[in-house]
Amino acid sequence: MPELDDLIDALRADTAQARWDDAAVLRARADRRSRRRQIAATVAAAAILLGGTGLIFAVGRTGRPAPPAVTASGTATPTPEPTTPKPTPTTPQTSATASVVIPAAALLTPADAGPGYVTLSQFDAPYAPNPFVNCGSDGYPHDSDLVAAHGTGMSKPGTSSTVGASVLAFRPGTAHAVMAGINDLLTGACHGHLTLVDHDLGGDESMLIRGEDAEPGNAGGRRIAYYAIVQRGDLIAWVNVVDYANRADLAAYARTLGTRAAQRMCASIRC
Amino acid sequence: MRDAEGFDEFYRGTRQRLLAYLYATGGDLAEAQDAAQEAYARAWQHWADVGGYGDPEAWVRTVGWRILANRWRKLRGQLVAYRRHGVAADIPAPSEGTVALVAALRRLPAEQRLAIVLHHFAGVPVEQVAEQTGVPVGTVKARLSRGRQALAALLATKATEDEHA
Repeated sequence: MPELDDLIDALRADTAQARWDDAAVLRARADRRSRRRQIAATVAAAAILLGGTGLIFAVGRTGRPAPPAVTASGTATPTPEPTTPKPTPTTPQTSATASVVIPAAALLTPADAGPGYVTLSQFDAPYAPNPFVNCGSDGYPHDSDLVAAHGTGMSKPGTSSTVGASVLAFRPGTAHAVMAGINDLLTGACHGHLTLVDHDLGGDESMLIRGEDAEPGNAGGRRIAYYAIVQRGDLIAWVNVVDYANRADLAAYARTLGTRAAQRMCASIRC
Repeated sequence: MRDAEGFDEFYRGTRQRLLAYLYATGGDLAEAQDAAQEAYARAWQHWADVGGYGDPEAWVRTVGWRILANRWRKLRGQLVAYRRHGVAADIPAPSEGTVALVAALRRLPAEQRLAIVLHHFAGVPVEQVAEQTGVPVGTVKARLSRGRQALAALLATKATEDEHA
């Protein structure tokens, strides 16, 4: 199919004309941003320590946006523009999502996953892959309400087992809609691909979902995945467990990790 | 201490593939470039960790994709891109073939599109596409094959329509 290959080459050629910031300029810009956010975080922390309710109220009256939320790794979470309407919670806000901090301790660790597991990677994003991509969904339900996320991938060398863990923080009052969106996918587009096997993992709402590939993998085994999803307040702990070895205890393992992930999340962040 | 030289080499050596991947995924060159620059800026902020990963390119790819996928971020990014780059002065118009290809890619099923852009545009080997998308190698090969067939059909239809026009 030479024509397609020619078009692919043409697209690459188009992108080759793009102008890039010099690496030093890009680094300097990122460093400036980090410093600004560190200062903002320090100011925010000081405001809280000084009984910041009044201070925040005063800042709010000036019409200035709140300082960017900061993750444990120093990365700011996008803050909505001042004109963006914010949902009004019907109860006093108990969530920490207004100034989201997702520390590394909020995530499962290799020790939680079991002996021999090691960390593959960490992201300021949910751990991929998105299980709904096979049902035609490009993203998680209510992606636009996601305000912060942190994810990590772990594997056990020499085995086909991988564990992904994410903590997702949503705009106040929207996390339940995420769970409803997942449920809609399970009964709609993903029906037949993914199956709800349990919904009693703790939290306000929870799900244990099973997915299995129709085709065998390289080693002859089928890929079986479990997704343990636990929502507490505006936060969701999300665990992916994948294995090809047809382990009999995989569902129980995923359920245990999901429960553990929710405990870690709420121990590190006020749920 | 972060390794600036190592980061610069990584940035220069991978940015073209990342941009092609994001452009093919999202279909908008200005947005893709802004998301790519943002992904590299975040990579530098975390370079002490990211630089030590086995595949830091996968990290910027994931972060870049997340930036594109976030709708709110996308809207804001358009404003940032506009302020940073202007309307079109800095970005040459794409060729007719590229526009047709990107349009055809957007009509593919999501899993086929992801396999195609990772393998053909980001240059990711089939085995790594399988690892990163969480499916068997055979499934990736099938998606690539079906995706290419679907793309060819979509592009042929477009060419026929153009001829008739």
